[in-house]
Amino acid sequence: MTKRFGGVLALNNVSFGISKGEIVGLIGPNGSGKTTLLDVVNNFLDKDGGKVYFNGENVTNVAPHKLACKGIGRTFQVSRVFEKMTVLENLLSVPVRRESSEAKFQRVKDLLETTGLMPVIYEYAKNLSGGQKKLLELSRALMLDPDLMMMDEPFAGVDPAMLDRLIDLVEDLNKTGKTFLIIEHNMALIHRLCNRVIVLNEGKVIAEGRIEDIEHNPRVVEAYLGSGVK
Amino acid sequence: MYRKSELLPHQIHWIIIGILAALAFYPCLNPGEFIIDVTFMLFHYAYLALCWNLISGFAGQFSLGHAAYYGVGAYTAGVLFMRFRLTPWLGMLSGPMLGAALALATGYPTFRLRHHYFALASLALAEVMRLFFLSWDYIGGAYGIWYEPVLRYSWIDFQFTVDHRVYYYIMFAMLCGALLLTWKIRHSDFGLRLMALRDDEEAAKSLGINTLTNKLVIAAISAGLTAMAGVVYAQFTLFIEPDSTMSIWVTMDMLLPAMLGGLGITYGPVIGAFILIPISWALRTFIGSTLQVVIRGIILMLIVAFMPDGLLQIVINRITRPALIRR
Repeated sequence: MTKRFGGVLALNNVSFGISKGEIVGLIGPNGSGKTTLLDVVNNFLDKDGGKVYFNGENVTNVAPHKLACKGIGRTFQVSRVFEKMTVLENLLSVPVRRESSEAKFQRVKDLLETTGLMPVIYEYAKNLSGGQKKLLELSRALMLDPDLMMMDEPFAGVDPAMLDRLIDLVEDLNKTGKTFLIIEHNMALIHRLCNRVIVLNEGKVIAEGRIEDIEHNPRVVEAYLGSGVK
Repeated sequence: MYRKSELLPHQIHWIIIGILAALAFYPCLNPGEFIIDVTFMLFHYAYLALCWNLISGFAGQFSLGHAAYYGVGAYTAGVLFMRFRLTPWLGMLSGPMLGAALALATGYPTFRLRHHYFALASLALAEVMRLFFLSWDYIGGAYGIWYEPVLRYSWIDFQFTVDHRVYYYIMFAMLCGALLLTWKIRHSDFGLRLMALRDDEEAAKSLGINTLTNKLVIAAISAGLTAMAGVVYAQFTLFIEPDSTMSIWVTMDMLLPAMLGGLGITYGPVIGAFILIPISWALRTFIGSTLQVVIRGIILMLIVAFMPDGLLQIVINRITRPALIRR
């Protein structure tokens, strides 16, 4: 994929694949094009070139809401909760087909209990803390029951206890066959979660592979990790 | 089971039902034509505010051009009756259909605009319509359409000059219907989708919500219902002209009550109208219409500055929600 913003080449022929059931980390320095990549895949931004395939189907020009229906969920770098709606309504607003309202409520309950948001079920989303908003956004995206979940710094601002539960949640979902693409700066989390890592720098993929191999790659160390990381 | 509602105190429902029940029996006391007419207009503004709230309060599409749909409704009935001698009941059917069609035709390109740009586009629509109607001689131009009054009780002509209580009950039924519809939408999945796209359109899209279709559907409903009020208004006053049906002031009469009572809350527009419209009339009577406009402008500024979510939202924030969260 290629994406330009005026004279800036935000994505320069970026190409990669993700297999079903993987947890892939997308890392890179600020401004390397990670969020732009998700926006382009998601069709929030028009591409200047390239194609996107999902489950073998060309979804390059499929509208974002249709992509969601096809099984691609996402969360945003800056939480985008529905601020004037309660936590409960945020989750119930997700259109879920072929599910009775009882089953939907049960899933809402399970997600809220997992993410620890049950005590604030009737709180307006705008009144939540930054970490709680992240949790709400994640729970809401999971209501879609997506096959591929693209998460943009989902763990930023989440307290350590909740972080463990969230990682468990991602791992449990992964065991059921869900695929994850996670943008994250916390390398310990990347280590713990990801099977594979893609490193972006200045709109290009500079490295791709297992984290153990990546972190010794001189280009990655120079562009992103720095020499102090072990 | 969880409460999927607006979290209003239960007492408010009973208060509203009580007030509506009292208003249903009120004309039986023969309060006189003036009081009946005043209450009719109160219902009329409350109804319009409810219609405006559907698109602007729930779906977040801040329309400054709703007067266009109102005018289309009024003129459809007026033209059909005065030019073709067709019963205004046909206008009750075709007016809302034309209003909805206009909303769909203009909504398709303008719903791609965001925030203030949509508001400006909708305002431009109403102004273009008003100027067009002002210069269109076939429908009376600036002179408007004057009905030939039928000086009797006529259902077929939709004229009840000898007994205004019929207008009262028609408007009352429309108000109750609009309230019920608003309630149903607010508590449906469709309502949740509208509120989701209101709060964050891209996030809504990322969750599988077809934002354009949802906006078009609610725009058609809102415009159709608004046009219906235009038809009834034309039958009530027996006179319509572009300035009194399509100007920005008509839209202001819809949005101010909704903003005062509570945007995106079922009862908000009705409560706002029942407070604001009598104040407007009193101001107009005692200090004149020019100064009244100034005061209404000040009221709008105060609402935006101090209670942007309206009166009922304050009730929810201070009473119901804290109790639920404590529980």
